[in-house]
Amino acid sequence: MEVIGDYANFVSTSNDAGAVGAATMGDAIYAFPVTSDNGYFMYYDKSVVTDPTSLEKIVADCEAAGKGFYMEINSGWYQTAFFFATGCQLTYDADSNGKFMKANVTYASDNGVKALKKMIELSKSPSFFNGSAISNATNPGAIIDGTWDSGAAKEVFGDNYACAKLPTFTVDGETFQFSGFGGFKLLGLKPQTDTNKAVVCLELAKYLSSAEVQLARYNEVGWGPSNMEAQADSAVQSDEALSALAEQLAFTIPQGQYPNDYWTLATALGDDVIADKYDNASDEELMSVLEEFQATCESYAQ
Amino acid sequence: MAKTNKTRSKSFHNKVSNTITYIVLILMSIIWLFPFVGLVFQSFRSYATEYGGMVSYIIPKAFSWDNYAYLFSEECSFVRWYLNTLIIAFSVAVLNTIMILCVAYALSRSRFKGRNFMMQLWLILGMFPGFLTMICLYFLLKQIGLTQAGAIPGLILVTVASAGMKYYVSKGYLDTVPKALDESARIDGASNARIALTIILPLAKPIIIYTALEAFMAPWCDYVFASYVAFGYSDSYNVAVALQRWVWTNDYQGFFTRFCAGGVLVAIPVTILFMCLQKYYVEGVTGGAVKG
Amino acid sequence: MGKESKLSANIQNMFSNIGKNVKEIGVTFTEGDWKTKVSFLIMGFGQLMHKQFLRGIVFLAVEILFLYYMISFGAKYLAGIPTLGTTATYVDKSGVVPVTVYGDNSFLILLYGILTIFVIIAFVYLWRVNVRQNRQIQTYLAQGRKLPTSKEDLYSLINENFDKTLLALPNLGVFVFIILPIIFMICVAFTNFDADHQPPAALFSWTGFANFKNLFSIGSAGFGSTFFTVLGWTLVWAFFATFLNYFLGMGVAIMINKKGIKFKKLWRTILVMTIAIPQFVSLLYVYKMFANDGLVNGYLLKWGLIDNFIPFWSNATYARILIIIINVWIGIPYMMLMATGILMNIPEDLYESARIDGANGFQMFMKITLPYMLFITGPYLLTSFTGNLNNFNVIFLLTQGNPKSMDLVGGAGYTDLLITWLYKLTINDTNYRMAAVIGIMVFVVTAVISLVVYRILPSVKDEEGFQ
Repeated sequence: MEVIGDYANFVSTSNDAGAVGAATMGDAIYAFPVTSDNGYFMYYDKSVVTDPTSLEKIVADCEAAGKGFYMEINSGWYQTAFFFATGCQLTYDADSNGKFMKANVTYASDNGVKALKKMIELSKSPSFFNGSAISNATNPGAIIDGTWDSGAAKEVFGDNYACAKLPTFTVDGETFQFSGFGGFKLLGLKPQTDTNKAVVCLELAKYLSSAEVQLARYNEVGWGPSNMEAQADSAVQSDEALSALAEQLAFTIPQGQYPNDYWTLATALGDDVIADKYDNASDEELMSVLEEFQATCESYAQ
Repeated sequence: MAKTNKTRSKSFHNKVSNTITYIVLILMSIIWLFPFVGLVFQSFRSYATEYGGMVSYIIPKAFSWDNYAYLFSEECSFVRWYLNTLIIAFSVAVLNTIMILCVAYALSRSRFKGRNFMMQLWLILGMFPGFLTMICLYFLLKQIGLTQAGAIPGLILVTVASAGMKYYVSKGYLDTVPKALDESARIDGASNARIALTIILPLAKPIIIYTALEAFMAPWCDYVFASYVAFGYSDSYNVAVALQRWVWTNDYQGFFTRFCAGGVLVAIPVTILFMCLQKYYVEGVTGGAVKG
Repeated sequence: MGKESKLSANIQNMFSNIGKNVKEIGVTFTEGDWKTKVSFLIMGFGQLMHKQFLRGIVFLAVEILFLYYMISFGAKYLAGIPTLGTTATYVDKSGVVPVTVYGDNSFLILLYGILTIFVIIAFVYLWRVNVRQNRQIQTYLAQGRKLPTSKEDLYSLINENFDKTLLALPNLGVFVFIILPIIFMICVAFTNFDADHQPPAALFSWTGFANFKNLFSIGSAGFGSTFFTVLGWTLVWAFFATFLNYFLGMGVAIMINKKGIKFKKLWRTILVMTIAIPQFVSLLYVYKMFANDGLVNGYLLKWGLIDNFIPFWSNATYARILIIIINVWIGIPYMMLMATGILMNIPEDLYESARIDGANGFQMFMKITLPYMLFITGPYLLTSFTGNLNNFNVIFLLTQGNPKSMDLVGGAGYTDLLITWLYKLTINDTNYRMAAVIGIMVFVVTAVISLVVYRILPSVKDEEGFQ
């Protein structure tokens, strides 16, 4: 259900720009933002990783210590960290009904090939494991994960718990900073046929996305607020995971709308990389893979 | 002389082959039991003292009952889910058996017009994959209000309604009961219903137990439709769905050991039941071809 | 007499049946008295007039219910079937808050429309029975026989017609919960019901054979090559899963059954225990065991047997082989149990006489044990094979059909069976139309294989040859 009038005003004035952008489709606001912390950064073991700013050093440290480096490269969400870093673009334009009108994809380029090459190189490492849930990791040295796992990460790493923004990586002599998606959690409302019921729903959603509730949520489960008033709170400001995330968010692109098929396609690409399909591929072969990827992405917007 | 040599070498040959067989059997037992032993050990690894997720060793550093305690605690609805599944299993066991027996008896004992047509139709229907009808069934149930909050009756209804199609084994068994019994009873003036209930039914005890056992064991593992029907309403989950949710939702850190504990608790009644009624299971599957 | 001539004979039968029925209806009308003629219009009239109250009331009630159903409910859905709805749902933004006004619901139209068609067919059938009963009344009266009373009708329900009584409820259940949904889904395969066309927000409509064309189309976005890849693996998997389990299970049973092996019951119990433990528990644990950072890789690395972890689940070939092996682990106990039961019933003297004739172990197996087992478990093999074609649990719980690849569309993975792919299309993509098409394909595959095997089976069942 679309949010109009006073409620739309409330959304756009009390939450940070990224959150408002995420709640907008076309020119209509359709949800109430609840968090601004749906992005990812890196948790790592202080005693294993000496320099968390360079991907190559991190991986080398993990290999030396016999620990694992975890990143879910077969997820369309984490995969973009590589491609957005080298300057590629992948977004969709959608109208107010949610229908995808146009795809803006530039993966089939030299930048894309560089990103794909780095992904392949990473997957070849003996300490690379595909995954992003620290509960499923058996011996992690570092993991690309989000704030929802901060409690579990503290348990696993104990006193060696540390957070950092995503590192940089080097390919073909050039250095890039990992980018990726900055995400937000939103509260949506089911379409109503009865006006009174609709008003009740809207009031409830407004309350649940207010500063008071967002702060309470942070205190209980650690979700980073999107409400600007809540963000100014001192406890929020000093949270380690949230500050690492905030640092990383500067390099990310707010996550927009993507068709379901895109996520499946990205998983397919990631799975192929993990299956060593492109291990000895030349740059031309990688380019043709990306061209196919791009063409399929574009076919989803019709 | 030649004879003793032959028998001696033969018994040596036997001994060797027996030893090899023993070794193979021991290896097999280890391989077969290994995951379960691992599972049981994992269930004793405490969430509090050692990390609750996956680890790379099997034997926990400290044994504890924490996981089991958690399952029975206030914040976890495990008991509720267990009860749900028990209710479903019992209802399905009883109702399914009745349905199947009705069909098997009718098809075995009488020849009516359209019998062949019905049997062939059901055979063909059985070749359609079950999931095909899932969304349609979901909406049907939704119209009657038997989803989510009413998921348990809904699940039972769907299972029982189509139970009649699984009559093959029972019918095969009933076919081996001689029709002469029916005849003599009918001469004495008994109605068909009376014959069925008083004469045939007691003879069908093995197959009844087999059918009930099969029906009872199935709901413990039914993940697919159960999760679809109860979607979003966690009080209506059965154990399979609930435990799966724990492990697949990445937010539930460290629930893996609790999953193991839950798994063990689910396995126990089913295992015991199965062991006791093994004999009937074999008779059923071989379709009564092995009698006496 | 092949299946073809039987089929055409069946069709001929059907037509001649219809012809006979029409003729009989005509005869009933012309030869009947005024009560019979009225019964053509008001069902149950003739029976009531002749004091068959139970029958009369039942038929009358059927007619009234049918008319009520059609007028209040069925007719409008039936009318909507050709178009599957014309009024779309829209949002009214004129008020304080947006209010959704619902239009036609294509799903319900299709569902209830099909239901109405069946109701009409059932009604026609009952009307025909009504006419036949009136004819029967006429004939009995002409012959001077007594008409069956209501009490006798009730008694027949538990006597001659007991079988019909028994079958009533199961048939109803099968109709509502199996036949109706299957016909519905077959119809969906001819529409464009997918994520973009979901009622109640949007309408879907008929598209003819477009989906089937899509399934077989070769090309990057087409489903064709993916379909054949998945189909191929499904057949390979079913073959290995069935026969490997069968022979290995038999082998284990024979091994345990040999004379001189002690603790037979213990070995059997250990193996059988694995059946009883629910698959979703054991399979998940096994899956994690073989993960890249799991137990197996961990120990192999520790013992220095390998340098790098073996990507069991991310490499398509490894994953497929591993799945077959794990399925053997699950399936052998079942087969062993069954084989043991059967083996114990093979008469010992058969083996004795063979041994006297100088046969060794292998020959005895091939000439005695194997034919006997195949004879008894032949049908089981067939059901096991078709069951494995649709063995959802093992595949889904282990790998969910992964690993995916850019070469496969529609979310399919290298270890997907047709049925797991169908499930993913339904749940993840809500691509109901392609799921329906694949469901139909699964049916076709199963049916073809079953037919083929049924032809071979009779020769296996040759009892004389067995002796």
